Amino acid sequence: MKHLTDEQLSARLDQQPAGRSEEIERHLTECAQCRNALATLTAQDRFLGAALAHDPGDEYFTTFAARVEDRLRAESLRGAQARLGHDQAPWLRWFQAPRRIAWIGAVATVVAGAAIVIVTSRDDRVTTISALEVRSAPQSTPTDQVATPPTSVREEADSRSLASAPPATRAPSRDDAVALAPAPPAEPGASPARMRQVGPTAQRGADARPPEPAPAAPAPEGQSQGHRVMKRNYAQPLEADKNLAANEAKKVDEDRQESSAPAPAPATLQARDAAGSMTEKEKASTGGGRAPGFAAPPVASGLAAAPRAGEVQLCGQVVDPDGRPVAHASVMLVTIGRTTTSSDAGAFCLSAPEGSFELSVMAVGFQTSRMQVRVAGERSDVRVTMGAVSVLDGVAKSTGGRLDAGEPVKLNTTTGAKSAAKPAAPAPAKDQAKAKTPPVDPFAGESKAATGLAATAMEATRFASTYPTIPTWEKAAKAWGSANTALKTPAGRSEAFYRIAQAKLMVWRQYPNVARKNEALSAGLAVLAGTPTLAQRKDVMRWMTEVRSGPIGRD
Amino acid sequence: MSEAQRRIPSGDPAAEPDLIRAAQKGDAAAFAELVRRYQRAVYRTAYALTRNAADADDLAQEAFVRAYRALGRFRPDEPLHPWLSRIVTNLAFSLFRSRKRRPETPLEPLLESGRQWSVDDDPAKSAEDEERRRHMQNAFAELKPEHQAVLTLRVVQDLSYDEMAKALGVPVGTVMSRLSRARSELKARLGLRSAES
Repeated sequence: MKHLTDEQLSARLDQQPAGRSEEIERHLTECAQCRNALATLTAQDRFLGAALAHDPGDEYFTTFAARVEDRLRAESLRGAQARLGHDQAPWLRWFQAPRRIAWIGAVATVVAGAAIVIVTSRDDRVTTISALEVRSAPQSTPTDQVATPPTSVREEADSRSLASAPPATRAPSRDDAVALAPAPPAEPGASPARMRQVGPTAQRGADARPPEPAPAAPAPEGQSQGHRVMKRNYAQPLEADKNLAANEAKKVDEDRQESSAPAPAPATLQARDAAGSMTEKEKASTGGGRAPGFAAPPVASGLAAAPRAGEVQLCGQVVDPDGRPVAHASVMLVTIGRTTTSSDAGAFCLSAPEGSFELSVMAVGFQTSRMQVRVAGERSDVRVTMGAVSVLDGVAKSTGGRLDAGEPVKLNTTTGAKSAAKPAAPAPAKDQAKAKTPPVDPFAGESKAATGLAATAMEATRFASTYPTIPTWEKAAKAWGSANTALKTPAGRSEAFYRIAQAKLMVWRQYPNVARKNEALSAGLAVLAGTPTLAQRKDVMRWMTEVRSGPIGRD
Repeated sequence: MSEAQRRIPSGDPAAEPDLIRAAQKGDAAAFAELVRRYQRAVYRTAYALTRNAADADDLAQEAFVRAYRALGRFRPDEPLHPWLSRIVTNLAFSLFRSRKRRPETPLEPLLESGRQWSVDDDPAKSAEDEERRRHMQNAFAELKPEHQAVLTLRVVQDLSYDEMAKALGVPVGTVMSRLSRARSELKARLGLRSAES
């Protein structure tokens, strides 16, 4: 019998036509070896996907586009600065959102500031250079002139030095000449020119201030208004986008006056006001909205960081099925990317705008809990009960879907085994933080030899879950079998039986047949006959159900 | 062209060619929407190929910057995903090349301290054993760049063979054989590594 090639297996795995022939299917039903190879490839892909996965979190992505923008802008700013006034260039719309203007404003302020410093502190030099420029502008570039000032200037300088300086400082360098050269006639013309240059830049900087990102809505208003503010917050970009029909604009104004009655400082303008005030400002200056893009297009609001202030506290507690607090749980408001971690008492608080959000709570050793929460009023409370994780959920859960074979294993007692193997070595803080609370070491009361064997066996399990094949899992089962003979405490023995059952289940999954089915079932029964923990019992019962109802191959 | 004409309702998948056209005409909002649609996919690829958050962040952003620049040459009716994958893959390749010349210190600590992103941890990471992850990552890192790329596009991005062919600029047949070789290589390396341990 000719086995399937790697390419055929690979194509079969990806459901490609080249791997979907009848012949291949027939071969797979007949050939355990190829079936096993395919299962291994499937598992390998799955593990690879998990190993290469990384989610930096929703918050990272809420600001991602803005950072791309920043980068684009930073690169194009050099060439763009000179043309800042020209709104018709389409790419300049990048600069028209408040954030961008603020950014440009900051740069412009620095430039303007630097220019002012130069003008005020180095008055002589600047005016001199300007004078030189003015004098011989048409012929050559300013640098040329600085390097080789016209003879008349030089002579003039020399004569000045002669008159005022002692002989030792005579023979000034060219630079000196430039620095010393007086330029009274050019000064009146040069200064305004410079001022003109500084003027608009500074102006822009000032313009940019009010909409300074301040996406936060400080919201001094009460709860009743809070909701409206929220709505406004989201609605604003769209409205602004449509160039705000007159009555809409009026509403915005009213809103703004209401909420900003205690006259907020311009720098702390609320996000919704940012857009609102922009349009107002434009109306004031141009009498009816000059550039539609200027009024905070959705891109700006969407890119800005999520709001922070003027929000409602959402507090709660994370507990396990028995009502005990779960510490270090990662709590996240998925929709808006707010995250926090639960305290030792399982408590957490997040601030969020009013509204309905998906709350996701993750903790090692528990299933990720997701629920809709409604944030309203002054403070919202929520209690999150975590479901115990099943040992086999591992990667399959996090990546969605199910494995046909070789489902990865979540080693939720790895830490325990490790610390048991090396009792002297303090567990790293990270591990402790990650461990299920309260951390349970099933091998706590065991002899040194037994914990050593258990550690070896755990290593085998870990290896098998990394590289799940029938031999690796069988090896793991065997290792736990020998560990079991040395283990004395009920908890330790229970863990060993549990691991054996797990390994037997995995072997059965790799290639189900009657013998493996029976082995998996009796291993499961062995666990249940002992003193399993609640989690172990639940898992084992689930596994046994799976084995009983699953495929058995050919009897 | 008025602002209203170019504004595309966000989240409408059918509107992608329109979004691309608008972005080509310089509509920043349209481009930002495209960024938002593909940021996760691009980041995933970048991370898979670099396996550290800092490089992935840099690469993902740079990929969009390049995309913005090259958008004018892009045909709006083509799928964007393979094209973006191609950009980020090429960026990763040039990063590999520069790293080869000037080797970096291992970036593992970045991963470990991974708290740099305000999110506490990611589900996939916290849900599984770190060691197994590293084991697989190390084996993957030993593969040739083109094998890494083809596996990333298939396993991480879930691209079809056609899309992968587009992303890699090779015929579909090559994708198929390369992917098969990459899988065998990875398997062999995992075996090798396990033999060592």
